[in-house]
Amino acid sequence: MSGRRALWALAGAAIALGLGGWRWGRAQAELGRERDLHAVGYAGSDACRRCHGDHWESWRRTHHGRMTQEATAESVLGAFDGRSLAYFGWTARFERDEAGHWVVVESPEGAVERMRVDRTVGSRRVQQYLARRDGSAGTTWWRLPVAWHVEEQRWMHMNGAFLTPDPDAAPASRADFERHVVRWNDNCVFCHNVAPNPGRGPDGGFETEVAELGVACEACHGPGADHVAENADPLRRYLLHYDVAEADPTAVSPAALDPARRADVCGRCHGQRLTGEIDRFLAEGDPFVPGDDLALYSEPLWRDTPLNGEEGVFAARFWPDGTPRLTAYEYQGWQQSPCSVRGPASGRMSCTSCHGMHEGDPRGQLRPEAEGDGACRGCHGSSAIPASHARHETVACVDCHMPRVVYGLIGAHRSHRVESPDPARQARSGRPDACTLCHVGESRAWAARETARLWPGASAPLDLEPGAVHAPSPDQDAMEERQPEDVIANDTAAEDIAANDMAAEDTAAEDTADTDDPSQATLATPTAGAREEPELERMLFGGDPIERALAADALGRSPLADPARRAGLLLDVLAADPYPAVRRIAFRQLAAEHDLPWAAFDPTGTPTARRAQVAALAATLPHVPPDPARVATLRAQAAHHAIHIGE
Amino acid sequence: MSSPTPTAIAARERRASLRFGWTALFAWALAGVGLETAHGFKWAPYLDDPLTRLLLTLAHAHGVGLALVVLAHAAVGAPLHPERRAPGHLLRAAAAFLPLGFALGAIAHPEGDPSLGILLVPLGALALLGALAQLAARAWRLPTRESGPDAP
Repeated sequence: MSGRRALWALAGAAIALGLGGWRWGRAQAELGRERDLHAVGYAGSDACRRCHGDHWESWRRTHHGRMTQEATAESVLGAFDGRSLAYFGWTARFERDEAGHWVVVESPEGAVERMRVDRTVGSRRVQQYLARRDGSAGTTWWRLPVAWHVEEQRWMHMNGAFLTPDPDAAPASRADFERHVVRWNDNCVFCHNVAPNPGRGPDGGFETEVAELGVACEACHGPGADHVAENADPLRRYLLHYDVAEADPTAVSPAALDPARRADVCGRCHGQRLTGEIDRFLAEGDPFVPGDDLALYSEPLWRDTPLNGEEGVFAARFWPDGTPRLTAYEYQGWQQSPCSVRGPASGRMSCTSCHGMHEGDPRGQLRPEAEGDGACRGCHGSSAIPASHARHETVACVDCHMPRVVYGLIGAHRSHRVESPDPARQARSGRPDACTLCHVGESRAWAARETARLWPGASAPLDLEPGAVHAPSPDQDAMEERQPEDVIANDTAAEDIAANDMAAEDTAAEDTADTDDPSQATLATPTAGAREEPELERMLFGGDPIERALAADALGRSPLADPARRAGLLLDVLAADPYPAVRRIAFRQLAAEHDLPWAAFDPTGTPTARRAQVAALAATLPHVPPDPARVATLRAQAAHHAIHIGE
Repeated sequence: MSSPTPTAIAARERRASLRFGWTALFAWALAGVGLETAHGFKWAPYLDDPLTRLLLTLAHAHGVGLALVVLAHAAVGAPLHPERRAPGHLLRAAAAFLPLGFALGAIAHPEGDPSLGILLVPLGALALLGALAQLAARAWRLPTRESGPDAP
């Protein structure tokens, strides 16, 4: 090579190195700069897919991404094939043509209304349908009163999904038929979409916008427009790939957040909240972006949280000791759990200790390593807690430490208040205990005695004196201190605002029932005599709607129940419980055990139709009817109030 | 020491290109059989990763294609530059770097991007463009009329 050529090559290399170094330094400096993501735009999950195909696929298989969808042939799961649903004199027929999917409602008087399905909500258990209305109040979407039960593959009235009783008479009034019609724009929109903004104007009209329908990437990773634009630069990407730079400031990685902030990402939707800025929320949307402290904008609802100064409004949603008894309060349960506050901050339990958005079975999204006892064993090793601790051969940690004392989505769910079982304390505080939910023929007193025998020191003997003073354990003291003493006055949840705004007047009645704090009366600690009676039967016939639903579920699950006796109890529930949701759960247990077709019982049928179906079932199923006098005594104690779920 | 004659350089170029070309063609054809086997036996690490599949397919395609170009160079390219070996060196470097870059980029790649082995690809592309530019320039420099006793 000649001298001149060598010089040119050297100069070229120097320029290339200089330019590369300058770009490297600039990219590193930019990556080290903190960003405020609140003003950043959203890119949508399709943009994420280009680079994060694996994560996109693992998210897409979950039900989060299908939480809200445009109604298409693919997204609509219901059978719009001309079949009908009868409900107390009303008929809903489901049709499909070139224009889309239609729900045709005929009133008892013969008035017909055709509603085109515009969007769907849900895809796992129940798929609900939204109809669109364009008017002077802007574009609004309304949840229809009928839904498709995915598991049972049949239509149902929404009254069978919520904890409300049957209509007083047939035919049902319009108010009864439309009891669960709600406006999507300021209700469902908040938790089932990315970056929800109801866009409520001063005139009460709506210009609702969401960044993306469904719970997509940016719901957990924050707005990604900058992330997408800036990572078009390959040098920047490779600095991040090979950890030359710190974490990308244009996106939030929940795994990199501390456990509390990580739980806030989930708690935004899995923990019903109140905000002091409801007008701002409704006008501009929820300002929370992942990584924020959720408490900056809202506070979780608790049993003693007042609404507009009124006490006890939300009491029925909690057990008397403050433990949530409805789904969508998992965040509160987590906050009450000792595991969320003990140990070094970085190692405390968070939602992702057990759940993963990108792994595990989409039903529950438990991480594979958290299956079985895995989640608990991560911290509570076998040296600290040997397998013999369980004193049972076939129970998992969660069976005792996270019992199914939560109602939601027509089913019983595990409590997310992870704590040591103490049947004596739970009897005093009126909350079901894990023992009697499985040992279905046993009493509260038996559970307390056995717990004291098997785990000495873990449970105090049950004081059988009525009105005994509740002596909480130190743990409980600590947890109860975490519940807000000073609640936000004049606050109101978006959903409750919406409920007040709704045209359906009957919903107001439902809310009114909710304000009575019926749990105080119905969940009062049982009398001394009752504590020696089988607790599950008391719950099944003499509890409030949530207790009855949980008892029906527990009865079906328990391996200790005699099948014939179980069938007798459940048939009695089908025949006489006034709540369709309770009857649906009871029938599901019977159907599972006896391989019955779903068509064998319609939980939302009229009393006459149900009696005939129950008689047919009783004729074929081996069963031992319960003592009618005892059932009548217990039913006389039962509470029949509506419980506003606020889903 | 006397410098090699143009005839000797052309012969060396031809020999080098033939050796490289046939060897590369064999190697990348073998790799192609490997990919087909992966399909045949449903080998998950290959089939389940779209980027790995794309990169290995690109490696196979570029490897085979450039091996054929190198063989063509042996036949009709080397005579174009009887006094210089640079175009042949660049072409063979390109035929090595480009497919190897794709193949190495498929190994332990981060999500959405190839691994650092992919850096060989732009180097190979530069070498390929350099070689082709020089060969094209040489081709344009050929006399427009044949000289000698048989010329028309």
